Amino acid sequence: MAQNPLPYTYYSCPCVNTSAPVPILAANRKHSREQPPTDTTEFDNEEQTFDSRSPRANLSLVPLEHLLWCTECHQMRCARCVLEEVQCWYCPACLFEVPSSTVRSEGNRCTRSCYNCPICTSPLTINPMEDPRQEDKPEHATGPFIMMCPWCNWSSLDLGIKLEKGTNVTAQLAKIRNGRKAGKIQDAEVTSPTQEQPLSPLAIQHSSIDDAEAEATSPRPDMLSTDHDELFTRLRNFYQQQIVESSEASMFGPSFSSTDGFSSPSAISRLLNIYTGKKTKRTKPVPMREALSPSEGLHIHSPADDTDSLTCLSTTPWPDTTTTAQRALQPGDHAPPFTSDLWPIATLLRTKRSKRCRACRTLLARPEARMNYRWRIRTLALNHMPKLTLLPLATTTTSSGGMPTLGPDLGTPAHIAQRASLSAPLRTGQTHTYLLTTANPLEDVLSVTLATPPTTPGRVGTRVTILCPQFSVGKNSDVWDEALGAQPAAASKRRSGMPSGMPTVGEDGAQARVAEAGKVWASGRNWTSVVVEVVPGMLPEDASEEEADLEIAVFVRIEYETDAAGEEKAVAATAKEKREEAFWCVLGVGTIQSTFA
Amino acid sequence: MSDPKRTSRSAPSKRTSLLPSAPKPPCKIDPAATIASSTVLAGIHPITIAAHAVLHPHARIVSAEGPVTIGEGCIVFEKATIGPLAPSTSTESATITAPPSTILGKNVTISTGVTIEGCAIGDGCVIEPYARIGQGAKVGRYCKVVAYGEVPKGAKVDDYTVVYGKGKRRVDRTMKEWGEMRELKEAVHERQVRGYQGLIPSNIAKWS
Ligand SMILES: [Zn+2]
Ligand SMILES: [Zn+2]
Ligand SMILES: [Zn+2]
Ligand SMILES: [Zn+2]
Repeated sequence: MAQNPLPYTYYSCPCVNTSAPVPILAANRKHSREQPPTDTTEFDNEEQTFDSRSPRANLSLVPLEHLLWCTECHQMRCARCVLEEVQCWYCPACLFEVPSSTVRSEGNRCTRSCYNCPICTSPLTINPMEDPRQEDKPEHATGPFIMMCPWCNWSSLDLGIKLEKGTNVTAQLAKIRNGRKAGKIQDAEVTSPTQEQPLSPLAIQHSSIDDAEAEATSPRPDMLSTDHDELFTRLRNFYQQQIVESSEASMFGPSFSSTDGFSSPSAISRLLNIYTGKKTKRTKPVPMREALSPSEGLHIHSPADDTDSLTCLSTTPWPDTTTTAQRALQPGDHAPPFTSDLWPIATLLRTKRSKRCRACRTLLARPEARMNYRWRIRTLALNHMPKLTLLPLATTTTSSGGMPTLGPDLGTPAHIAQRASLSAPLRTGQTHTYLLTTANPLEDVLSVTLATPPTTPGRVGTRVTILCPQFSVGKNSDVWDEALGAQPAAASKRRSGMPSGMPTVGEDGAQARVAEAGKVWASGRNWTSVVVEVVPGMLPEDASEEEADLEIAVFVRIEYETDAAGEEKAVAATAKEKREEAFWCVLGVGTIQSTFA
Repeated sequence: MSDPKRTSRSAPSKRTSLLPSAPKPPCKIDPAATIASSTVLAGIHPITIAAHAVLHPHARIVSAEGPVTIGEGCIVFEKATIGPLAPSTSTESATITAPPSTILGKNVTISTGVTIEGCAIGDGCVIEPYARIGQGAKVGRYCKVVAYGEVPKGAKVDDYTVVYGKGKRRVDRTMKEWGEMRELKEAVHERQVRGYQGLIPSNIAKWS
């Protein structure tokens, strides 16, 4: 995964082992009084080493920052193993929320004044057309207003549209559109019985704040339009009429399959006739016919339309024709062939979603209602799981060793230098040393056990040794506790030019320090660093790029005792609960340099 | 500056005079133009700057390879570089005797970080940040090149064209068909120029 910025640590969500994303380790997480641990699955899991290259693993490797945490299952939850619920719809441009019922009735687009450019999809701005040189300028812009694209310079003037007000654009546009449709129909009456497809009403269907009003104000509502919706309505009416007529004629005709069914008065009277034995004159069933006139929904396609389009196409330069994407974005069935007919697109609404654990339905994240992007609830794995960071053990005298990464320390020049050296290629057969820092976000002391396969899976076979695989990490106590409690030590360190709590790799004399097996390299308030030795293996001649990237899978098991308070009973507040968690994570180290290059 | 002897020996005013300053290019600057003192004007060919042009601090006008003409009311933002490149040594240099020149029309906006080589840009054009106009290109009137857009060498861009996306072009019908929009644009531009004239201390004397 060469595209990832080094260093990276990915956590493997336990849902990787299940085809249905239900956690298998759930039972162990709640390592508690009511349930004895059923360790079989976990042991299986432990014995089988994790291969970060397996296609399956790729689905579950997630940076810690992206993971949520289920406080009931005591487990991380990735995007695969959470349930999402749409909480509300909102417009990304004006942030107004739209209730689901409105979305159902009016469509999933903003009905206020938010539109996107039909050419390039940028959000349109609404600008007054007034001269800034004007001396006696009123306080508020008076207009007329136009919609403009700040990117490609499309404007509503391209459609010849000027707006009277800068607000409620949707209603104004709908009115203009209906007016134009009516105009086209009038033209159609004069010129020919059939006319090219006018702008569709579907376009304004979702922007129908006052569709009805617009409909009422359209000049000649009695006019037979050829637009899609009205044609459909007329056709449906016609066929319904046909069904009724033909079923009245035939006794058990299609009426029984029609919507009228047995309960219609005509059907009942016919049934009565059958039972009373009255012979009615049997009329010959009238066969259903097709629509014959425009009032019945008939729309004859005229070849002239095609010829018109074709001649138009042959004379229009290529850039003036619409692209498939542009047509697809157009509202309703309006798919104009030329860019001059493109209509602005109402902004699509988005959803705010709350997230629940798939296993126990606990709420993991819930967005804040009202117009903002904040969260009301969000339990991040970041605050519940140790954070592992790999950095090269610096050999320069200026830089320091690994740091807890809970603070904003990653931006320091020393770390940038380390990152640079981390992206340097790894050489086959050479021993590279790294510091693996485990930072603890919990308020309990962690005892950590790390495990990694001695050689990485695959053909390269890089040897990896964690010199001190078992250690403890201090609790994430108040920063001030450390600052005040460790005064003398910190002061002495500060005198030598090092910030307190930093592992002092580069100090004089300490440079020759050798990493010892079984000993922690450095530790601080809530973090501990251990040394990892890496000896890159031989790259095969035909090695792929992916094989050259060195990733180390590490199995992390943590144990800690925590207050059981607040979970089940207040009585058990004093009782300590022992918890155990385990997971795989993958550390991205760098690229092995090919010896054949 | 840590050495006390050195600071006492050369006062700051003297030190600037000792510096080997680049030779001033022959300039013809309208007194109504605004040029910040940290604007760079360099080269050997003439540089002409018309009235109401605004050159922001750290804008670079380089006439090393050919003359540069900046039209009335042009705004050149910081880190923009304007100046023709050396003529290519291929066959065309044999036929063209005059050095390549850069000409900006009236009310042209050259945004931050733009590179303008030896080309002609028409009135009312807007060249957005970090765009590049190649040598020998001809950009018409009221054109727009979007941010990071590129007009390749020797290309011709018709009037009212928007160069956007990956070399896409479209005709800006709003500008083309609506005279009032052009007037409006001019008005907005003029107001902008007036604003900058009030904000940027001009130092024309430095170049004349
Ligand atoms: Zn998962
Ligand atoms: Zn909106
Ligand atoms: Zn656009
Ligand atoms: Zn859960």
